[in-house]
Amino acid sequence: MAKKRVIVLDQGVTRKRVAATMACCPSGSPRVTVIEEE
Amino acid sequence: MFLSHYLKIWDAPDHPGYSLFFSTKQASLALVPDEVLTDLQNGKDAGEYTDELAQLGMLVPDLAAERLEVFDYMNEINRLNPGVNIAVILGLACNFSCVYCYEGSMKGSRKMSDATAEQLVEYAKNCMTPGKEKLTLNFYGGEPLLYVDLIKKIATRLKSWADTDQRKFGFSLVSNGSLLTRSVVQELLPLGLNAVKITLDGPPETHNILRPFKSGAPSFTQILANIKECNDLVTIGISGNFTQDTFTQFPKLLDILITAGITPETTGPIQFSPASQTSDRYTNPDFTGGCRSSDEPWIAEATLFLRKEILQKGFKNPKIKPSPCMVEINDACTVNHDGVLYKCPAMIGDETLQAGTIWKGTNDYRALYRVGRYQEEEKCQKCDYLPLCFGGCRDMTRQREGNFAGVECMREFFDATVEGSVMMGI
Repeated sequence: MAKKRVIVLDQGVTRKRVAATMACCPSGSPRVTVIEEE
Repeated sequence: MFLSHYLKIWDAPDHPGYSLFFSTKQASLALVPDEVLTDLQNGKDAGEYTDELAQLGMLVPDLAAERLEVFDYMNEINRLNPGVNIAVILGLACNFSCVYCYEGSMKGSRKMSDATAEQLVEYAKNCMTPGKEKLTLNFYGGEPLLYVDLIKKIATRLKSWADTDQRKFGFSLVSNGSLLTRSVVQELLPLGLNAVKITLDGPPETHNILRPFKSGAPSFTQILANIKECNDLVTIGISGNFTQDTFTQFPKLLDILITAGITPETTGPIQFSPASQTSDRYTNPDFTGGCRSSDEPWIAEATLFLRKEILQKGFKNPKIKPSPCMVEINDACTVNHDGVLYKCPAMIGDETLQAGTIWKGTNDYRALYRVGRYQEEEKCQKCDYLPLCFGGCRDMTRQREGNFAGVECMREFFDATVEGSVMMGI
């Protein structure tokens, strides 16, 4: 039986990427919306 | 090494013998063998996986230091931020009469003067201090496409400056979509247009009630035609504002888009959000059924329902990740049509929240906006969702309570939605 390993599904986001992503809210909405999605 | 405080661990029913690790501070995701988890919970190390899990933000050498690092997150984001982002309210005229619009009775004929537009250009250039690479403007209104000449004037000046100064410049539009034509897009593309966000509040039967033309005429058909006409030229993201009564009908909108040829391959991200139940002096008193608080159970129900529908139909839906509010970002602001600065588009018109002017620059708005307010809140200090929230939306608290002295706690909302939302993205 093969040894179980850690399986990375998503490396996530770097802080530099977060910093470069503009976020603001659309009309009528309370929630943050990413304008420039990676 | 220790398990991160900002780590959610869930069962992985499709992967027996594994647990699912999700880092709220990094939005990383991994399947981890149960025996590794057991070792970590018993104070042992993760062996050969230690470095990998540490890189994913899931293991840390010092829990106290990690909390300090998360509390410093916004400072780090501000240090790293390569850009300047300015939301521009060109004017308050709109050809729509959306029932929930946060600008409400503020809307009218007021618009940015040529002199103010000239100064906006100078202000934006001055914001691009050494080291800043990219300037982004987000044109709002009212309806920004009622001010195409103003957009062209501002963008032409900034594009020319950016090309000469070897900086990057781009802009997006937050538009109702009714005036977006192929010729307008073709005119704006060389000036830096890179994205348009258009709002559709569900299928025609809900959209046309919530977002009619000012005359009362339905707007859905016109917007759909315009998206189809332009989406090969520019990325068009579709947003939509739902109420408790309308969200179940939004899947029909997705089917209509696909039938019209507006497919996942040709469309930017789709994100539906609850319409905010505003209560300030500009509010339309006839609108009810909006969201007053993030912890209303129907918000969580709608969020999961709609994300599932969007992803199942193959469209893009932003994943859960740290998304800082622009109030916390030093190099982001909103410029109202009169040149007054605010830290958020929803705050315009509130004289008590003015953050400066484009002539004099920004005031010290930190106390006014309670920047970093989560750092004073005991519940935030302990919260493992802090990197996803950082105190929540100020405007929601302001609309409900008249101020944002407290934070908008999203714990109940995240408890109800994060696991489901992450699982759907796998």
